[in-house]
Amino acid sequence: MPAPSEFVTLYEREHSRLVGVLGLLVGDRHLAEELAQEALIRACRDWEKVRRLDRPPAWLHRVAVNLAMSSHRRRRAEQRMLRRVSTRDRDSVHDPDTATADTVRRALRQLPIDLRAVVVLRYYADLSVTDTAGVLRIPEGTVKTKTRRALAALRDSGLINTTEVTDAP
Amino acid sequence: MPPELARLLHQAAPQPSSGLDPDQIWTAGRRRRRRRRQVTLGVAVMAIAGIAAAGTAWLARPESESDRVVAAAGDLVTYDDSVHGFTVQYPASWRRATTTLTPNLGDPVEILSLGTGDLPVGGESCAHFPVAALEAMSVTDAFITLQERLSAEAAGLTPGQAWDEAAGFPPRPDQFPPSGSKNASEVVDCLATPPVFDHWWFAFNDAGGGFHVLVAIGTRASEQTRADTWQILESLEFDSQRQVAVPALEDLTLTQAEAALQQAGLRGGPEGGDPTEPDAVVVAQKPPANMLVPRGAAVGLRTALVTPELCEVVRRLPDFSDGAHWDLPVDVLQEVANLADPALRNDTQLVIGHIMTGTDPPDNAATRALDRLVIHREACS
Repeated sequence: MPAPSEFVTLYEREHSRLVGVLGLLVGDRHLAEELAQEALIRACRDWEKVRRLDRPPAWLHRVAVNLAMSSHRRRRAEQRMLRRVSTRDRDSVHDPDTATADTVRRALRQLPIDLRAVVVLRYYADLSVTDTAGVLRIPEGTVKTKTRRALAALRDSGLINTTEVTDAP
Repeated sequence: MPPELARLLHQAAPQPSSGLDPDQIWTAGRRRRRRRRQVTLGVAVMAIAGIAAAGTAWLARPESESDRVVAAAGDLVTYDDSVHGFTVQYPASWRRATTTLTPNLGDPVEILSLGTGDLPVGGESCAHFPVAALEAMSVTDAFITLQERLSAEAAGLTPGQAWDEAAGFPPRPDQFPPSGSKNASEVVDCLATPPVFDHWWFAFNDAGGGFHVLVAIGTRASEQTRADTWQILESLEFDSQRQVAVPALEDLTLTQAEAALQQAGLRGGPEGGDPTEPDAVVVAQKPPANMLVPRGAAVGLRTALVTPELCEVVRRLPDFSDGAHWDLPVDVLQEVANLADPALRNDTQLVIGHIMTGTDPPDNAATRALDRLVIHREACS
């Protein structure tokens, strides 16, 4: 069954960005691709509703972030067990990349998942404060607070040097 | 926005290893939709059968929940909510939501929603507003939702600060709506469709509680509907002896916790065997935060004294608040145990035993002990 052109457009515009957001959130490219696919399938399942929304990409990101959050909770227990039996860093073994990218991922992993989500949505997906609040279903003030806390943590970790933090949407 | 961070994130973000076929995704999604519809249809058939069996008894069931009282007199319904401690009167033609319309809202908590139209739960965005109900309004409808603040901390206040004007909760107005409240919130930004109503958003304090109110009145609502809306708010009566929510006290000093309890109309109860110095940190409370208890009830506090010497060692522990306690250095934990008061010493030894034996997940006692260590670490930072 061929997909309608509206869905194909949404897919072409968002798939890559979705994988990027999820990859930064869960720290695993393969899992990110699976979750992105699941989010897109759900968009098809609920297409009658999704296509009528003002901003279908925002809906798609919300579903994807929720999937990532659920996955994060499930994987924490697994990771604790893996850490006991292996001292190797799984991500660096399975997903070799530049030293900078590894540093970024390591710094992101130090952030609690809610702060990580705010940072990734705002600075990678380039969402406004309002859109980020919509995706995460939290007040805009909370987005700003979490952004400040996350940036402070990333500064402390030495990842970024900037002192400029803006509340602008 | 820090451009260097955006650049770094783009550098670290993975790219899809291969393109998916949108047609295959579409087919998978539609298949799942068909499956869900079949399940929904099956459930609906069973529900209809159940309703038919219940017959007229189901239809005659009053709308009230078991612990709440609704009485009708003429065209007015009086609703008495003993849990949240208030009564309100509304026209029989209005509907009252029998479940919260904001299921993802933790604090404040929605304690009443009324409307002349449908009251669907939830919404696509903005957990703090009943978005679906607002989107369902017609131009002739009216809608009211009342939320109560539970903890001062969640409202961004100092622990123990009263729900007063300084905290953003002025006294209940002599007449609703208070001036300056019309179209004063961002609620319309949460809607998927343009609003068909004017809205009022305001806060007030009454009987020791802090409340937020959202009122929406359709642009073509009748004068009667408009008058009824404000009359409903005028009829609200709060019981000063009503149940109150236990504030979150863990991580506060004993002095701060006692002030917070006093502000909530509660009192400190029997304490554990830990130090009770004013600077001691509350590490456990009973009942837990947000539980509703009668005004004046006692809340048990367990405290621990955080000394500079102890903090010096505790600060050497890495952040394990996300559950990464397997990385905790046992030698540092042993130092913590040597310096800690009896309660923290026992907990720290429990954590050491847990790490050494490698049992996963931690049992309840180990989880509580880990939580207490987290609290101490944060208190020392």
